[in-house]
Amino acid sequence: MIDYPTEQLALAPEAPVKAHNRKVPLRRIVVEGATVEQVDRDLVDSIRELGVLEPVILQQVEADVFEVIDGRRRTLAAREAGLKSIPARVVEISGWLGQEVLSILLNEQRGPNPYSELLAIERLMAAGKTERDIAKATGMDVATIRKRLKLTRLIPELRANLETGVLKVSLAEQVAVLPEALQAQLSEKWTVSGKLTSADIHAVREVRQAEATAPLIEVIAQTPATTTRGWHESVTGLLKQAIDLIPEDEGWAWTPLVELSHQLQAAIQEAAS
Amino acid sequence: MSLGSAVRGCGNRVKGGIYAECGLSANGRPIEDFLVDPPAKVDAQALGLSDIGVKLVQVNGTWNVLDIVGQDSYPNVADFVEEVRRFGLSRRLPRSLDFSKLTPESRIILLHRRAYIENFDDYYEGNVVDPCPKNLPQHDWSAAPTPVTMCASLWWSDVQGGVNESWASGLRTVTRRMPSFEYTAHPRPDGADPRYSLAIFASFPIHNLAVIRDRDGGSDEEALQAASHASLPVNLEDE
Repeated sequence: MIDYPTEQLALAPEAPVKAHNRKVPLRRIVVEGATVEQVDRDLVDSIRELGVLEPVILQQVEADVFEVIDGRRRTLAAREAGLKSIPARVVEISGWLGQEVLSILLNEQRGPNPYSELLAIERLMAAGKTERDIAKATGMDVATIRKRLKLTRLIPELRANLETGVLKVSLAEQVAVLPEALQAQLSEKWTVSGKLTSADIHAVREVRQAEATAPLIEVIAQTPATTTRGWHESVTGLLKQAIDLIPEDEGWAWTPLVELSHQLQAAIQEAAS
Repeated sequence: MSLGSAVRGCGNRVKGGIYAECGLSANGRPIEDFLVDPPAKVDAQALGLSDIGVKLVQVNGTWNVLDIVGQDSYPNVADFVEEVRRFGLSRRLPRSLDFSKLTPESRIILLHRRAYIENFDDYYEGNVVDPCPKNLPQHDWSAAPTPVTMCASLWWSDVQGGVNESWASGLRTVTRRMPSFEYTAHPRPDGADPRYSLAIFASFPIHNLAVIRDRDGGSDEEALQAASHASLPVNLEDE
C-alpha cells in the first residue's frame, strides 16, 4: 500500500487514501497530458514481451471511466503493444483535485519530475488554488512551487521541447528567466545548430548584461562625480556678481575684473576639454 | 552635517540603519547637474532590480548602488528631487550589502517607476511646460516644438496629490505638501493619459555612510561594523 502522507492534506482527503488492485480495460482509461508520440518504442516492445510489471495508478472518475494519476506512458505503451487491460491500483480520492495533489506526492516519493509537477501545479492554480494551498496539500515548499511556475515563462517552442524531454529542466530553468526575444533567439540557434548548451545561455546573458549596463555608463558620464564646484566656477559666479555691481564707467575697477573673469572661463573650458 | 533632522517622504531614519548620504554645501553644484535628462530607461530584469532593497552593479570597474525610489513614499519624481534639493540625499542600504565594494568613486543611481513618460509629447498639446531643468538645447521647445526625447521638466508637470490649485503665468499650479516642506508644481494636464516606464532620474556621488545611533542598547554596533567595510567615511549620527 502506498504510504501517502496525510497529516498535511488539509485540502486533500482527510481519511487515508484507499486503493485496491485490479485489472482495468484500457478502453476505459482516459490519458491526459501525454501523447503516443511521447512513448518510447523500447517501452512498447518491453511491455509486449513482459507485460506491465508495475501497476499504474488510476482514479475512477465515473462508473466505467478511469483517469491516470501515474503511469501515462505505460498506459499508452500498453495500448500500442495491443494489450486489452492493464494492472492498476485504483485509488478512491475525495476532495478537490486529488489527482493533481497525488501526482505531486508521487513525484516527491519517487524523486521529483519537475515537468509533471508543473502540470499538476498549473491545473491546481487554474482551479483557483493558491501557492500556499498547494504547498499545504502536497508538502512541497512554496519556493519550489515558484521555481516550477517559472517554467511557464518558456516560449511555446521551448516548452514543447521541455515536455518531450529534449530540453533538460536545468537548462529550461535558466532560459525561462530570459525575456521572450532572447528565448526565441536561443530557440532559433538550437534549430540551426541542433543543440543548446549552458554556454549558449551564458553567452546570451552576457550580451544582455552588457546592453543593460550601457545606460548606466551614459548616466555616469552625464552626471558629475563630485558635488562641489571647483574654485574656478565658484569665483566666476562671485566675479559676475561683482561686475554687475560696478558701473562700467569705473573702468579701473570694472576692466580688470572682466579680464579676470574671461581668464577663469578660459581655464574652466580648458579643464573641461 | 547630519542629514537626518527632517522627516522625509519615507519617514524618519531607522535606529541602527545604514544610509548612503550626499550632503548639501554652500559651494555645491545645483541639483539639476545630477538629474538624468532625458531619463534613462533600463532593463530591470537584466540588472536584477527589485522595488525592495538595492542592487550593486559594476560599471567600468566601479561598483554603484542602484535604488528604486518607491512610489508609496514619493508618488512623483519631483517629490524626491525637491526633498534632496532641501535636505540632501539619504537612502537606506541593507545591512547585508557587500559594503566592501563601495569606494569614493561609487554612485547612487536612482530610479523611479514614473520617471519616463512614453507618450511625453501629449503633454505639449496646448500646454506650456516649465523650461528644461538642465537647459538642454534639444528640450528648448520654443526652438524645437516637436519633442524628440522626454524632458525632465515633465516631472514637475505631472504632479499628483497637489492641493490649492490655481493659475499662475498661464499655468495650472498646485502646492504639493511633503512631510517637512512643500513645493509648487503643475498637475497633469487635462486629457493626458501617461504611460510610464521605470527609468533612472538621478545619479549622485556617495559622500559618506551614516549609521543611526541606537540609544536603546541596540544594533548600531553591528551596523557600524558592516558599514566600515566600505572605503567611505562612516559617521554615527543621531536621528
